[in-house]
Amino acid sequence: MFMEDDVLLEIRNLHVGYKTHLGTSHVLNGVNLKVYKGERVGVIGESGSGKTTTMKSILRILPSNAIIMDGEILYQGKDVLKMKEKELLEIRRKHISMIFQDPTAALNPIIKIGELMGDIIKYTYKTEDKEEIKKISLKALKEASLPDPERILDSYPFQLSGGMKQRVCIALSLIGNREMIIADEPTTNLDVTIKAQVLDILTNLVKERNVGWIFVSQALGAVRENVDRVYVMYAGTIIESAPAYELFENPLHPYTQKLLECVPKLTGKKFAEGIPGRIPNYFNPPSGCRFHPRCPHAKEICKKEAPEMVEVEKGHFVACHLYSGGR
Amino acid sequence: MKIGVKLDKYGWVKGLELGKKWYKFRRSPLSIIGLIVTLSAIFMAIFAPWVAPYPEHAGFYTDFANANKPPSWEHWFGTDEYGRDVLSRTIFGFRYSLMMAAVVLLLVVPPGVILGLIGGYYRERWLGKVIMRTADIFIAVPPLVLALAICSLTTPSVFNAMMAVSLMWWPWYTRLMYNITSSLKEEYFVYAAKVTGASSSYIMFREIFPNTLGPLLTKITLDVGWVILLGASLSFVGLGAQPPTPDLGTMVADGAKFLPEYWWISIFPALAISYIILGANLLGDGIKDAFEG
Repeated sequence: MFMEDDVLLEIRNLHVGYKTHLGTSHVLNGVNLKVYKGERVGVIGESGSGKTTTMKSILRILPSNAIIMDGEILYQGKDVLKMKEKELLEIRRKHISMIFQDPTAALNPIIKIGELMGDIIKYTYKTEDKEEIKKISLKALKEASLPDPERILDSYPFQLSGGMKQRVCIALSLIGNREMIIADEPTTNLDVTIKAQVLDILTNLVKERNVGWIFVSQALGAVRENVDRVYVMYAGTIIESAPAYELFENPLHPYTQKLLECVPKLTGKKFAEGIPGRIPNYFNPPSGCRFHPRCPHAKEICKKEAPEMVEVEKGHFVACHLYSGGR
Repeated sequence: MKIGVKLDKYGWVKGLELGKKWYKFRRSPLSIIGLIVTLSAIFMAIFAPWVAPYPEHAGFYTDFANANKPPSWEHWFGTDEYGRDVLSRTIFGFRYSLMMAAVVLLLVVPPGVILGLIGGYYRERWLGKVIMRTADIFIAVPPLVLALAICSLTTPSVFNAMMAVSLMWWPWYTRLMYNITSSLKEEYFVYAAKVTGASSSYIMFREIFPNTLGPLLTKITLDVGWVILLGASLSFVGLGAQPPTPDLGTMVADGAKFLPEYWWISIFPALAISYIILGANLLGDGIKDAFEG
């Protein structure tokens, strides 16, 4: 397992809100997350549960109306939220990179792939040598299993297919020996047939390079197979975290149980029921445990007190009053 | 930026995709008319001494024996009160109008665009707010009134008219760039650039600016017409070019007192103003079509 002093990234009690014309929404309500060196972490949860907001705050690319209310994001012991512009650029250029959901939107439509790659390489490797830049970019494209990299360097994004664009994004994110990659639903916007292929390329590269990886996804099957530890998010809080096999075999939180039941099974005869209700309104979130209005096991205490994270089994944490006294 | 249509070995157009843009442009006959009209005006302006039948009539010249002659084969547009050929003076008039447009736009576009990019990119910081509120103040004053005020404070001349028009024209570019930039800065490719560690100036000039070229070029072409019109208006009220400069606005003003008997003195220069403005507008529409989707 991973050593305690090999923590790469640690998010502590992160609170983030958005200012809108309706008032301030309190989206992230104390997120705690830890990534060790070389660990592959999966984050799952419904749409709107704050997964993307968490990922964006790690690199400080939140929209301008977002406010960070509280918390720390420690990257190798240094707080990203308190960093000066210069240190932040250094982190973004050399240490952490991110892959976005929609590769079409993530590539500037009027810049050629080669130029884009060249600029990134120029700043990451601090080199001006054209030959070297080309060599590095060809290698990066080949690693992402792109056929005919010479042609791709000379193409505009619209000349490539969705899967190719996402592979280009993967190649871009792996330039320079980065220690950490954040993949925010990297396969959601792709064609079904391409999904598996792109995911394979990504996971293989991550394994080979031994980088820290946060994999945000709705595809529970993909998460189960490719990560070491899973964090389940609901309404801006981490409600359960466990090693992947443990979480999928033995989910403890009622929300996780319901979420996993939603995956249609090949053998089952009945359809998934889904979870009644929806993600709460962040302007006026429910008191206590944010899941209590939808929870089948809700008790009086759930409405009043937010549950603490407890370690129920070794490495298996859950924030629910059902387990607060042990199992 | 590479310009020039060249096919690579896969049959794609290299560079700015000019081939595709030209195809879209020429689909509309009106765009072609606009292009021809504008090019012909530019041609006449540059080669005025060779194109005009009586180039010496552009300056101080009098021939009272031939004054106020109606259009004929010798003087297609007739002659004015001093016996000068109106056609020759109109052709020279293109020079002043187009020079006015060129100088004003050269003075106005670069600062307006840069301020707009900065204002849009730092929209929620004080820097952006200061820039945009200053632009708003200039926009709030009616353009002709401001230009008239500035011109009447200084000695009337072509140069002062240009300065006055420039002073009130930049905020429109700032506004345009501000609007485009503030919507583009929320695009994912800007986030992606930030994530890879791009600096703010890199994002502004390399990621956002090239994406604004379509609307910007359209606005510049359309503005050629408006600047010429405003310059001619200033000349018409006597605050721009001074006689005997063959400025189109001045010529219209000079001939106005002879209306309606000697109509050709002011009607032909007025039609020439319409000619350039129409050409610029049609060309602008064509460029808009070429850059759109």
